[in-house]
Amino acid sequence: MQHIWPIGGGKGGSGKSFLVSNLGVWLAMQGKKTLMVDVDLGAANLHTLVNIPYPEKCLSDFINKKVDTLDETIIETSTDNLYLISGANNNLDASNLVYSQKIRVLRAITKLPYEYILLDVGAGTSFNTIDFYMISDYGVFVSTPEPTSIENVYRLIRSVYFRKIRQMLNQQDFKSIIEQAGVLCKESSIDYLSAIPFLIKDREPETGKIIELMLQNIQYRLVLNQHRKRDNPNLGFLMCKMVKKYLGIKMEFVGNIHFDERIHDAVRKKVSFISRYPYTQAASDIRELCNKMLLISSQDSIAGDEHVQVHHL
Amino acid sequence: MKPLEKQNYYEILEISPNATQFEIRSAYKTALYIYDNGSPVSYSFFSKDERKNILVLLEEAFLTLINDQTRSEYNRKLVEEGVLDEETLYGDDYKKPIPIIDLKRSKVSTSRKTTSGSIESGRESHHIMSKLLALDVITGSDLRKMRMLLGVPLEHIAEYTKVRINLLRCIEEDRFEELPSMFHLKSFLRSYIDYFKLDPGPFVDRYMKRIID
Ligand SMILES: Nc1ncnc2c1ncn2[C@@H]1O[C@H](COP(=O)(O)OP(=O)(O)O)[C@@H](O)[C@H]1O
Ligand SMILES: [Mg+2]
Repeated sequence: MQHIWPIGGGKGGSGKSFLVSNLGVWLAMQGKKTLMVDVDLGAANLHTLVNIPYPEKCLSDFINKKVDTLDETIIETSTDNLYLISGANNNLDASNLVYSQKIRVLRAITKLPYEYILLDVGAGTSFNTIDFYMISDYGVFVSTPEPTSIENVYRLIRSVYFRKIRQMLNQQDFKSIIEQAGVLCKESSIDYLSAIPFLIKDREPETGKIIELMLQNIQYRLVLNQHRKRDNPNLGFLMCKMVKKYLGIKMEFVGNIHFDERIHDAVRKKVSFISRYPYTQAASDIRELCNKMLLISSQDSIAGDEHVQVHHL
Repeated sequence: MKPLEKQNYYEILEISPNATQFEIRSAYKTALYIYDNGSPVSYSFFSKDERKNILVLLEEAFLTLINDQTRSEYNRKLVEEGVLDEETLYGDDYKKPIPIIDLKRSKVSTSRKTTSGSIESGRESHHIMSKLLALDVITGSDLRKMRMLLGVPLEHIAEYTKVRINLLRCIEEDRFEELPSMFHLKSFLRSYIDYFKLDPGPFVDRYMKRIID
């Protein structure tokens, strides 16, 4: 069974790449065959975090058709069971990926024989970022407890959700639904985004049902990184509650990762933080939230939901 | 999701209809933490106006529910509108007769979910209750007030007394002419009072006083 976790967040520097590399190491240490894919093509870092300064192959080799299959771009890391597709050496402007290229990459990713595939999707809400959330119902969103970061994460969640719905409708229907939603939310306090599924169902019960089912399968996760003592430990929990209440999106808070100066040291020395400093609070936070996510995934696999994601491609 | 302005105060504060005062206070505190202007939780989530509306509604909800009197009026409104039924409001333990006398030792207010756990409001209802008990003449609406104060649904009295609820309603609404006879009135009244473990004699007399006059 393959699990794809796109990991992103609205802001650079919040710790997405750091989290991906440490989750990767931790999953691999538990004997899970894990692949990290750096799709943050404009700001690829993962290779550096796992101390591979000069990756000899990378994702753009596949995009450029230098190689035929995506698995030819996979490199081994120094950790057993942990593999990487690097985003380095990318001379393409990431946002210039045409639709067919993107689809090719996404499809190829879903076919790779790894138990866990972590996608470092980078910051921003550009078209590309959102695309990588389309192949999984288990998107992970990383924020810090700062309002700037929170603002961007909310924006990203909305965009991802919006896109999920949009890809199910034709352009014309979508446009008129959007207009209708605009009118509705002016009249009442209902959120624009949460009104859309209802409007669709009203208009086209069949499509509405399908979309409803699709949305029900979504199970996002929120991580708050760089948590400091004076931050409210419940912040993430309450954020998820907001997202559920007003947007109707299921999102589970999987934990805070404490701020720790030693993370900077680990990055500087290009060593894995979780292996170098296993007894710190931050390392224990990462292990705990990883286990939590594993638990959610395993429950969902039992329910057999995981494969729904791939049809929409 | 129901738009906020269509939700009732309990839904707005995300508490159950039989929440204690403590629960109401802490729900309000949490809500303020979430929706307040400077809150990181809802930062960028709402427009300025939306946030203002939410805060106004929250305050309204809090002020109404935290006060026993306004709360019971509000509850009655919800029951009349069919939004709540009396059962959910008071839970099962209300089917048993309620000894009023215990109120003085403020037992009722702790064993009850509707009236608060706080001593002040226990005192307040005790105060109103003593005034009722001291009345020279008692009307149906006094009885009703007493019942509401103790948070007892009429159904429970009907069940206990085996008197049909619309007949009990006639008593509370002083429509005695609709009762079969004066004898019935007295006997129903006696059972009604008995539910509260009060001595029916003086009550019946004080109620009947008006009719006889
Ligand atoms: N929990 C933390 N405590 C202290 N510093 C952190 C923490 N998480 C990340 N950092 C610092 O932030 C830097 C940027 O992290 P990175 O993962 O590259 O961000 P992103 O990929 O989101 O842009 C890291 O190099 C590290 O120094
Ligand atoms: Mg990064």
